[in-house]
Amino acid sequence: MRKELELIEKIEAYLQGRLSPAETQAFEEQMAGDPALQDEVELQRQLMTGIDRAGLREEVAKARKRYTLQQRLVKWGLGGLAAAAVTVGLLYYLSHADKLHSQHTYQDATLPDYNEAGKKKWADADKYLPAQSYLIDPDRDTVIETEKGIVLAIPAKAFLDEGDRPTKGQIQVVLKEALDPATIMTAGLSTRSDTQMLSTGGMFFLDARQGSQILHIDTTRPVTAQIPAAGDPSNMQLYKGKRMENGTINWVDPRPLEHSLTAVDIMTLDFYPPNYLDSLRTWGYDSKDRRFTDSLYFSFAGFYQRAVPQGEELPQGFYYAKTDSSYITGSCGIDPAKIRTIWSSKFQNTLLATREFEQRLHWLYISGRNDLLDLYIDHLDRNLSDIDSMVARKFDMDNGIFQAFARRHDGKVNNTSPQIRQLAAYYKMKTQVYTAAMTKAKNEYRSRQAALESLSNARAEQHMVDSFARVQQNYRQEFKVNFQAACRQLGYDTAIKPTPPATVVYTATITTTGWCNIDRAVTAATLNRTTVEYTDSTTNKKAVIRYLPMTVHITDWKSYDRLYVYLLPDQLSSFMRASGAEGAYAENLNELLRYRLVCIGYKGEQAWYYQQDKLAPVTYPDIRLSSISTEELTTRLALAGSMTQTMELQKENTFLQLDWQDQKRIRRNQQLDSLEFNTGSMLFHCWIHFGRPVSDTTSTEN
Amino acid sequence: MPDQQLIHRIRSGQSDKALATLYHHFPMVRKMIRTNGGNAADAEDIFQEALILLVRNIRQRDFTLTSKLSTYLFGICRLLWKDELRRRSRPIPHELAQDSAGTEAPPPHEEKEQQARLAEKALDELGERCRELLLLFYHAGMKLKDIAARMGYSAENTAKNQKYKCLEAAKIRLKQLQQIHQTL
Repeated sequence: MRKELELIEKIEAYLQGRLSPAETQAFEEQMAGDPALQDEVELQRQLMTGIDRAGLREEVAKARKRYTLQQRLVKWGLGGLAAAAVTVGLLYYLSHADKLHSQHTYQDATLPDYNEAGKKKWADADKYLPAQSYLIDPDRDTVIETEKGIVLAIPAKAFLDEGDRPTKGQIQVVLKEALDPATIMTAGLSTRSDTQMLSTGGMFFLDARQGSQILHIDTTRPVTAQIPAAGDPSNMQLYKGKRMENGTINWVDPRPLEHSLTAVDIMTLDFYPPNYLDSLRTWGYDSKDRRFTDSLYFSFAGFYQRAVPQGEELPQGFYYAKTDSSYITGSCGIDPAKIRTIWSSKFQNTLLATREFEQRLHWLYISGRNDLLDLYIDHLDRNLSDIDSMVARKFDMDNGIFQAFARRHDGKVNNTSPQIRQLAAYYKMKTQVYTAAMTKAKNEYRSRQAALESLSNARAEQHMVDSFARVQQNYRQEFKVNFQAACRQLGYDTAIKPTPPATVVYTATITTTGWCNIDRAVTAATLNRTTVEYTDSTTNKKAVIRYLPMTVHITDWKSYDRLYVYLLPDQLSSFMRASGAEGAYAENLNELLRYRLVCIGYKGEQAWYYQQDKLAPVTYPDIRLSSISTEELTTRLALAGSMTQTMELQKENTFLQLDWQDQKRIRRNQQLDSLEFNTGSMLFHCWIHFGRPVSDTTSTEN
Repeated sequence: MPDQQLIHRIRSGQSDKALATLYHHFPMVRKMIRTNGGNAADAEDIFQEALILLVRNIRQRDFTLTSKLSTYLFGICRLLWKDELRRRSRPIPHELAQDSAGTEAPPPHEEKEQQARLAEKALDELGERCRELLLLFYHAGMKLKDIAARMGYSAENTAKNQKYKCLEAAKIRLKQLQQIHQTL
């Protein structure tokens, strides 16, 4: 050991009182004559204090977390669960795993010797996707969120060792995810179940190890996963991955997804009509003032109706319910009084207090039909999809919206699964932090712009333009900082990822480790959007869909370390990896689909790429790839695939543009009359023609 | 949990349970700070500091409790908040300015506070692994053998060497921070 380090060792012994009396005296005499040594000792002493305080700070932070969590559980009225959760110690994901130097574990890009099934077999995706590693305490329920937003609720004692016993001591949970086209294709993943084409909502890998032990899931304590859904969530199932000899993964054994609804605090949902808040903002009003927005909207209760005596001509534009009273009541919009009733704590924990219902309500507003809304309110004990079907049948102008809802097979609110409740709690926390961070970011953005706008000369204008651009660029980075600050202030762990909370998710119950895929089988019915068989319109006979062969020959195939050839059918979230040898890849094309060819090659770390649209069932003899940067490859692949993960980026940009134009329009003195007129005519299309409320008519029915 | 039990827990290394109980005094502290010119974030920070001071005081050999623990803790919070207001050059509300007799919390030494803050900062600026190593050894009192296994060092000796290297780096950084601080 170096001299300097030996001195530190000696000072440590001195400060800890481990030197013998004689040694201590000698050391102190030495110090007396050497000011530099005194400084060193003092410095080290201060450091010891600092270490002690730092350790205490972490303990206090943990105590604070438990306290705020306890408070929140009690506030949400989860009552008995509060006590259980606190004693079980609900733990949100904390820090990354330490790197364990051993061949038995995952470490960055290296893999253990044996896979999760105990075999020495790894697919391309295993090798080329980075592992996210989390250390968890098996005696507590844990919630983990991945980089891209998959949230998993892991019950206590969920993992068993090779002898089917629960483990003691920390467990390493490993996750890999492929939710977007670029990741899927660069990892060599394919969306195929044997020969059946699949349309995917995302793939991920789950494994759990403890030291050298491979763990499996206790099937009586499954892991519940929620994957953010980008597209149409109907008819999706959970497939398991089976590694094949050629490095690809085949998807087998489909199981249904979990269809229970996630109950959230009903007051955090948005039950206003679709354009209501936006319009208020455009007209220069504060759409965040809840009392104002509520009172304005609810003041229209009763204005939606028109009572017409029996026998009189019915004005157009209303929907008339059958009645045998002497008046027929027509409505031309959802009754605000009804909304006011359901948007209250009385309906907490019912199917109305769910994100899923919020989506339906949006469309109910567009339909303008109170009787359809009543179907939901009157059948709180039924599966949501049953009510969706009822609505679809009753609504003659449906356009397939409520049928599509019904196909999601959404069920009921699940009040008994602790994992579902934990996931709901996590979503609520995320939304809270995200909203706080967004608000802060908006305020900072606004004040900076106000400062810039106050510059008035021509030179300043150019500066303004440049500064705005720079501000937009920095937005992402600053948002991350704001997000962490919001976490800290609200008492949450700052390691939580700053991704937007997902409103539509696939919920899957996972009982085995390994690869999972959320997919929908692509059948002929899906392809041509008819219900059952494919009928040839010219011959009117039931036809069999033909598959035509196509071959691709890659020039210089030997020079690539890895080569993936993909066929991407138009408008489906499918990635068909073609199999081949010696640079020749063959695939059968479904004649009803249009395909795009994407070839990805790697020479070491350098990527190569080729793309061709409108693929024909012929042989392509000479395909040459060109070198490409990793960033450009990611962009190209994102455009080539058709999943909508880029939606988030768009959302962020729109926020920036909308907001600063809003601010310019804020005017203080708006006439109250015109506000009512504008709002009424926006909400109820019959308002303009029939401006008298029902109470004005001489109706004794009501 | 009675005070003596809390003190015993803190002294014997079971401070996490004690801290969880003590956190129930937070609403009272938050109210005090809010009515004296602070916000919720201030309350969180002050309460955190106060708990750290409380634990360190209790662990001193000559510590004796002469009032209720909650009173003691509350007294620390008041003093810390008064100091903070002074630091922000803000006027001190009347009720706070009155000397609170009956709380015998020793005022935290300004100088020592500053030193401690710098030391924590130097520690924060070390790499993750160094910080973790030092915390495990000195704060959690873990044996080198266990630390070596947990952090993936090949031998106990490696961990020991690493520990001294980290200490050295921390000392150098602390010295730099102190020099910067002095020139301000």
